[in-house]
Amino acid sequence: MTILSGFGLFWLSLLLASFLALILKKKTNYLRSAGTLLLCLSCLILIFISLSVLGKGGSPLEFEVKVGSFHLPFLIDGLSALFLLLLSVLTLASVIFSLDFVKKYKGDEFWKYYLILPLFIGGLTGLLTVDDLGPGFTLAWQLMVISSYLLIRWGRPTKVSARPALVYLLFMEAAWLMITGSAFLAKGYIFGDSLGTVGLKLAQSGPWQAILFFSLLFLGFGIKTGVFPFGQWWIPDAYSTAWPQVSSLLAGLLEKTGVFGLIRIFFFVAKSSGAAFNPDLWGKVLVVAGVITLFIGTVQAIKQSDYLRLLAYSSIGQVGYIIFALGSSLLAWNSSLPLAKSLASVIFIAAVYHSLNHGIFKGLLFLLGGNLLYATGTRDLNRLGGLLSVMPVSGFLAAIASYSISGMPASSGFVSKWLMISSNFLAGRGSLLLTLSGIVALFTAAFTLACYVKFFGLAFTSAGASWKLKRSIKEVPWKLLASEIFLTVICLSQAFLPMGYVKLIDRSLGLSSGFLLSEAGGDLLSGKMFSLKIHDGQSLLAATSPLLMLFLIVLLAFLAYWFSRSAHPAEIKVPAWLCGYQDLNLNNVYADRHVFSDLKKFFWWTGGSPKKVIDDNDPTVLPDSQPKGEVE
Amino acid sequence: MKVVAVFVNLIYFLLLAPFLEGVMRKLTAWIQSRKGPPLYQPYLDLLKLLGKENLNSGGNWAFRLAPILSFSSMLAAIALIPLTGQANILAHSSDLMTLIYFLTLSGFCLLVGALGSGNPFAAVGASREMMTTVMLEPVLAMLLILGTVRIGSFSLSAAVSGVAVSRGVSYFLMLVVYLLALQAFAARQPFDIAEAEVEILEGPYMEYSGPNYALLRYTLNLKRMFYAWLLVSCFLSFILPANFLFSLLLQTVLIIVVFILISLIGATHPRFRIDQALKYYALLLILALIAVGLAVKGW
Repeated sequence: MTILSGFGLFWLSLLLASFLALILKKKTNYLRSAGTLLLCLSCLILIFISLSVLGKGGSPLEFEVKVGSFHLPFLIDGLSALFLLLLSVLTLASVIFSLDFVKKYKGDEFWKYYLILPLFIGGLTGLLTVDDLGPGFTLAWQLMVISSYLLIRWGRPTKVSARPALVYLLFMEAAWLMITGSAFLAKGYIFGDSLGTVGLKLAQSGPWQAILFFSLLFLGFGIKTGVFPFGQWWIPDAYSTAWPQVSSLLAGLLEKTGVFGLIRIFFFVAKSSGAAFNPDLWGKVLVVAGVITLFIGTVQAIKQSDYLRLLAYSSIGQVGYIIFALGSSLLAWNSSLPLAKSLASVIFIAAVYHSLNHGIFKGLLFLLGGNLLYATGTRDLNRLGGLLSVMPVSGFLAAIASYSISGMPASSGFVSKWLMISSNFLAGRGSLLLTLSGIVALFTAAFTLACYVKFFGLAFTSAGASWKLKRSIKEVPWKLLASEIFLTVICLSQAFLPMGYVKLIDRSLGLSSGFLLSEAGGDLLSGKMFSLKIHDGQSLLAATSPLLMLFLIVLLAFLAYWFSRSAHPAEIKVPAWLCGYQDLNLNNVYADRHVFSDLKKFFWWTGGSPKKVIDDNDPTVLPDSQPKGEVE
Repeated sequence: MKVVAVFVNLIYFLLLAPFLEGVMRKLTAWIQSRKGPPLYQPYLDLLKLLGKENLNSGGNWAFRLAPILSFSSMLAAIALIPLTGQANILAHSSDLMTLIYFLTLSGFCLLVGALGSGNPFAAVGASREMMTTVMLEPVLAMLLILGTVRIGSFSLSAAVSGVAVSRGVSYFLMLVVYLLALQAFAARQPFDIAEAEVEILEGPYMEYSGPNYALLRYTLNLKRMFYAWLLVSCFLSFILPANFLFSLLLQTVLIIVVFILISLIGATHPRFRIDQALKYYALLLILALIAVGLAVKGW
């Protein structure tokens, strides 16, 4: 099977999946199995495609598809292949998760979900593979936008979902206008030119056109990735409205296609446009935008009581890290210091690495959010607590995912943040902007930790759900867990095989022609499979080894265990002492709205104050609502 | 030799940390016109706690695992440090970010354990502790980054020795910031907000007893000693002699002096409320940021 025919087959199975949904409609069991099988098949084909581009003897694939009078240029190079890999992995997890999750929805949503999901996947794939800003891009973008609009629309009762979905649609259409419109600024642009050609034509245009061109594209893709303040306007509402398995794709991938767009513009088109591109200016813009986004997004995440909104805000923050690293990489490349120049590609690798990591653990976290929703029916952290004993597997997976996204030692988040921040400081020596923004990035990592201590602590440890919810809570079905375990394993591999992933990213960049940083070179980053080191000549500048860190902690933990059990103490199970209260109840429990209350007040100026959390079974949002009563 | 250095780190801290608590308790007692326990009392306390039964109120693995991991990650952080300015074997695969994150991990485990205990007062304490971490950890990070900016290397020994390599405005400003933050790092009055014995009954530690509590107490002692050590070896590295033993001896004396300082301030100040403390930390953050900015400009 050649790559090209594989690509055809991929589309065929997607369309077939959609078509079957249209035919089978109410035959839910057939529909579920057929849809899942076909979607899994297309994911496997996609994995095959990306691996054959990235693997031994692979090469970028360029081809054109003729639709009417338009030629749609396609390009699957190393970078596309890498993101396609992420797409297929996340989709696999999401589809397997859906198997049992969608059973809850008996109505029309059921078959419509299987009708639209393949189109959404197709749209995302299109965005990652088309190589123009004209007809091909438009087709892929609209497919992605309209399908995801519908998925968001059906995620919750219409009363709460109509507005977020509409806002999402409007922003995405505005972004589309800016992106497709920008290309017309290049002198002699013909609708449908490939990206490389646009860059070359831009080089002949005036300086103002070039600045406007890059501004429009920055805004367009910025809206998509969720740069401050655009992200705040659509992301939290959209992600908390869609089904969790859809949100997992939205956060894990839809955002990343925006990052992919930014990379294509600022690291590929920028190269072909030569002097028309001002790396100093755009580096600074990206760094500042990234730092503001990562700080504000993460601080706002702390304030949320709706855990899906919390995850959504936190993904704005995490994307901020990626944008910050992209900008810092441009500035380093433009620097006159030889060390900084050769660190540019290291920072860039960090940005891509973080995109992959964030894709996986945020996808995982949204699926786990789905577990909570499935088991408890509420999205309010105030009403959860103590789930660790009833949902041990979900709790364990949530612990790993929270641990990873907080960037604690020996986790995937640590590796990519380490790579990003250490190389940023080393490259930015003498630059006030890079040093200070690096500090803000470090500072914000502590907020991320606070955010996920809250998420994990209040949902799984702590006390309460059993008596706050008045329903029996059970561990979710194994298919939900299987998809999450799959993602967890990948997440762990990202932590413990850093050099493997760095090599993969490096290879994908080698397979992408026209990459801006390719001549910056310098093999500063070295390491065995399990460790990473940044050398300058003989001197070791920075180093990390997740496996060794884990080993150290575990070894010392055994020491601690031996020490604490040296007198063979008895272990007695006792009830918690409730400070004189008879029992815990809604009046004396320490709920989510109290946690970090002073910190929340202190950072009131960042905005994003939470609204009242409304669950799907709340009488106020049900379609035929009778008198509106108080919930609790 | 470089492997032995790791064990020297661990043994030095493990042996000395309870003694320093003894110093602190004795001094506090004197100031309050009490006799105070003997200096070796904390060792006895630890031994006594080891023999008591382990009460488990949370009933989940998070509660039981937390003290062990908190202790071990604190020790892991200590294993990395260049005790007398010499990098040890672990320096090949760690740097200052590893150190900062190990310290954070230690606090993180305590929080998860506290939330896992199911006690509302422990949750109040955990929430306060987390707010403190969020605001204070960057100050620690910025101290080390000051060294990084000077030397141009991310490795721990370079960062520690880099702080005092040239003693300009930024050095003194950072010193002031660190001294102002010291009580908060040591979690003593006026910043013992998370524990606050008379207010929320030791907060996060509340439900812990016996050996688990011994581990957490030990962790707290190690943490205090670490921050005192950091003060000495970052800001006073230029007066430490090259000889290992002399250097260690002088360091020990200086660490005890730092502890005397901590106890003096601690015994004579009332506690801040958390909202007041947050404002104070924000000021420290801004000052530290200015110090790093000045260092970038070579001042």
